[in-house]
Amino acid sequence: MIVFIAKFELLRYSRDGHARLLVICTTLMLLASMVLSIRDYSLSQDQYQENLLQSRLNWESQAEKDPHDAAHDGTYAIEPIYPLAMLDKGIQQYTGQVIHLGAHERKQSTLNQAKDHSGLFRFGELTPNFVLLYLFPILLIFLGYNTFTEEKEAQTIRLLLAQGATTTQLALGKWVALLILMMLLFIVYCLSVVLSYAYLGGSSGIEILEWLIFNASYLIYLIVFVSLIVLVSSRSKSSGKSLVTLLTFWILVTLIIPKLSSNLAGQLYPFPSLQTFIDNINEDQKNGLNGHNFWNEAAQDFQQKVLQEYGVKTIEELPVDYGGLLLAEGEKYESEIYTKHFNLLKAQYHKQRKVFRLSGFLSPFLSVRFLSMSMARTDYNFQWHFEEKAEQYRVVLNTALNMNIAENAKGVERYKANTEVWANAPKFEYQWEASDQIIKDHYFEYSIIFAWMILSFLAMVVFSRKIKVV
Amino acid sequence: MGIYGQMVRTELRLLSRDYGFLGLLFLLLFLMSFASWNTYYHLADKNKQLTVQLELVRQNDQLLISQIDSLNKGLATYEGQYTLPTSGVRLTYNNHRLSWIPSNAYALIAIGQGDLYSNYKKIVLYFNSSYERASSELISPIEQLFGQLDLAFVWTYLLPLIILLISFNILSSERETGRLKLIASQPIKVSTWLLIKISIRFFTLFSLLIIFTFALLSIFGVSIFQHPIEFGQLTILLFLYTAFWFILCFLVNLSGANSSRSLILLTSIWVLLVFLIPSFINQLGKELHPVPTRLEIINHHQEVYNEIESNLRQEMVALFRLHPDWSSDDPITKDMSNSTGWNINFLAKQYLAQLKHQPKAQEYEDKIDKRNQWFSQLRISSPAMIFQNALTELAGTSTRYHRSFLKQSQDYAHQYRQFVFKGLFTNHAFTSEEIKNLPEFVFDRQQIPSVFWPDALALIIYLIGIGIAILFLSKKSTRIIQK
Repeated sequence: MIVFIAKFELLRYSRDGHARLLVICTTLMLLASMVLSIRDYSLSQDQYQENLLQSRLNWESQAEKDPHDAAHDGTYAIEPIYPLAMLDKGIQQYTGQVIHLGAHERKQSTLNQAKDHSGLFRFGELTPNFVLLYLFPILLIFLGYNTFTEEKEAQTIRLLLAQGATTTQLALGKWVALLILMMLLFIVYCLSVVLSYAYLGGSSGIEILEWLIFNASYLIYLIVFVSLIVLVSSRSKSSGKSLVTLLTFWILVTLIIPKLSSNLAGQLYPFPSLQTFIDNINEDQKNGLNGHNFWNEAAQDFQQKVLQEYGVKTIEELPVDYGGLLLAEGEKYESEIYTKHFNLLKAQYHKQRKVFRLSGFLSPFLSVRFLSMSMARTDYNFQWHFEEKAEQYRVVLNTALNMNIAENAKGVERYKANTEVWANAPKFEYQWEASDQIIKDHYFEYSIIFAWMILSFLAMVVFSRKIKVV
Repeated sequence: MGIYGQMVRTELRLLSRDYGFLGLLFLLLFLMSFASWNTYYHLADKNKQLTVQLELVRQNDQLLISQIDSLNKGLATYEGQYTLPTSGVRLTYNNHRLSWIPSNAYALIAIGQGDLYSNYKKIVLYFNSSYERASSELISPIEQLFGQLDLAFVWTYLLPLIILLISFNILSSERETGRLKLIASQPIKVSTWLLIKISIRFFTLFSLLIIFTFALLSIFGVSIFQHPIEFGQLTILLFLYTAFWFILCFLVNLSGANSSRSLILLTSIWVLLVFLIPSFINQLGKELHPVPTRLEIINHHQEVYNEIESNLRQEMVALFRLHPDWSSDDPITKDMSNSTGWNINFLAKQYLAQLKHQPKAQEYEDKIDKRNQWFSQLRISSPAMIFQNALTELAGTSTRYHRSFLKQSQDYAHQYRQFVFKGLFTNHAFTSEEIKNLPEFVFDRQQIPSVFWPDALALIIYLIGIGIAILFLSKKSTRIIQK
């Protein structure tokens, strides 16, 4: 009976001119978003590779100079773009693309692309995840809002029940039909993605398993909508009321709750002001090593330690340049202070994240959004991971430069390193965070969307038993 | 009382008893209140940050002035140029300036791009200005991604939906419940009856909207009576945007579709105007007006810097040819073992790199302006885009405002650099009078012409367009309704 009802529903959809038009329009939108995203992604990757090479070339082409001056001039860590970022740009546009790695100071990434756009940018971009998150659900609502109410309004539901079908079978049949329709659209999306990555060829580097997990979250999200549409339609007295209820749900889930939760998270757990952040770091650094201060207590302690280590009594007796050693040690110390304060900032974000996670109970959109961004490496966790790796590299690079002073500047007036030093300096090679680690970190979000899927389905089955026909 | 008066009275009574309508009004009030509260705290935070920064500059200047006075009176001695209060090195590194953008009177209505930009910029002389430093407040990018819930969002996105929900089935519900025949028997045309019904809803909602807005703006400290013109502009914009959606509902009601079809049609138009067209234009703009990544600009700066370091001697000769008043015979300015000499050399390299890099950087900024100009012109493709643009302009939080602020800051930085470098490069001893009279930044709003009338006009054109469609449809609709 369920199969029969599903077949009948599919036939009804195929005969509905409005439904056909909506499906065609949404598919065209999806394809347009895919084409525009391929070009955007491809251009970004080319620019990334080109600028990465140029940045290193600039570093290696420096004139002869004091290695610590080179450390001050610094170099750049450029954020790479993961292949799945083509489908979900996440916070990429808001976090910047590059971090300056200079001496003494840890910086945040900058060159926030969103700042260069006009205000219209805030309306969103037509990307594949935009179509999946906003347009597919609304299309499903338009297709299925009257799946039950139409039967009620035309009184055909009585005929169906008279033929031996139960209301649960009716609900399941209609659910299967809408699910098949959704799956057809989803297959179109999957095919377009496969073709896109095939077009990009070897440069895509996408892993199939990762992509399947990425898609699974969207699929579950859409299944939730399918179940809720059938549920609401079965409980509504008229098609109009069903449509109004579903549209209200869509607005709440996709527009209002995400904004409310993000604003609330920011209000409850605000980041400190830039000045407070700087003041706190300065306060911690005040009495520590900074590489340039030879006279404070920390520098005196370090001097004693070095002298003991080398078994000499004065700096002049050291076989190495003491200034270089002090700079190297100062860099490590300053980096630890920065790490401490950036970790406090990260802890504050994790508090904000709790708000987002809990809001997932009210809106599956939020959980899916975070899952999608995490797999596309366009979320805040990626940002932290990248910035931490860049900071580790900054310390390695600066230590190498400062130790070059220690090893070569002894007894040399105004020591300058030659270009070989720049060429031999360590390179920054970023390793993406492993997928299993990301999945582990998002168990909660996965649990929420699974809960949404199961509960919405159960609610549909349970409440469909109580449908009033008369 | 004539039939029209009776209709108005009955309709108002019905509306006051319609729980759906009242519920939506309550929702609108709630969202507007939350949005105002959220924006108020956002602005308060920004103003607090600005006050801290201004105070920091004031305290640093005050300290410098008092130290110069002490030095001149022989009450204190200083070792080294970094601490010597009269030294240009000290002024360069310890006493940065601040450029800042004051909040507009109606900033409460739209956060706009305000969550992306700081409302101040530290003017420092020792950095590569291609790389933004020290002026970006810490904010979670997640918050920026989802955006702020402000009045502009409620009005642009949600207000139309509320209008659609209260007006989509005025005529169709009458037909579906069989009351249309009764109405048709009255001595009034059905289209006039529909117009009166929809006008009552429009004026009721619009009046309440203005009252809510007036109350919320007053509660959250907007001095409406000191800025009545802006309030008038806001009222006109709200009137036009609200009227657009009501007239659209009127048109769809006239088309004779059933309730569900009407709602689907109206919601599809809403999705089209509020989501699809803007997002499509955003992507298309990137395609048609590609702007290279700023990484290229950074790399270019680095390249230029390397070139200057390699040919420093010739470059310094060129610099003093360009600024003969910066040249000095004082040996201290040439002595690299001295912090003044070293810093002159260091800052000259940065300045020269900046000068050589400037045309490339400007070319990039021009491309961005050109793309934004294109976006700005295409806003006419959706009333939602026009309305949102008009609100952010009125609030002073649009990209145009912020880019003008950055441009003005850059000009000010250039002016300030000329002043300080002239002193630093000639080893001039700065006096307390000079510190008191350092050039100040003043944001000039006059550089940003208002776009209120073009936006209002574009909305009026939309209204006229739908009006024509209504006239065209009204003859057909009579037949549809009669059927």
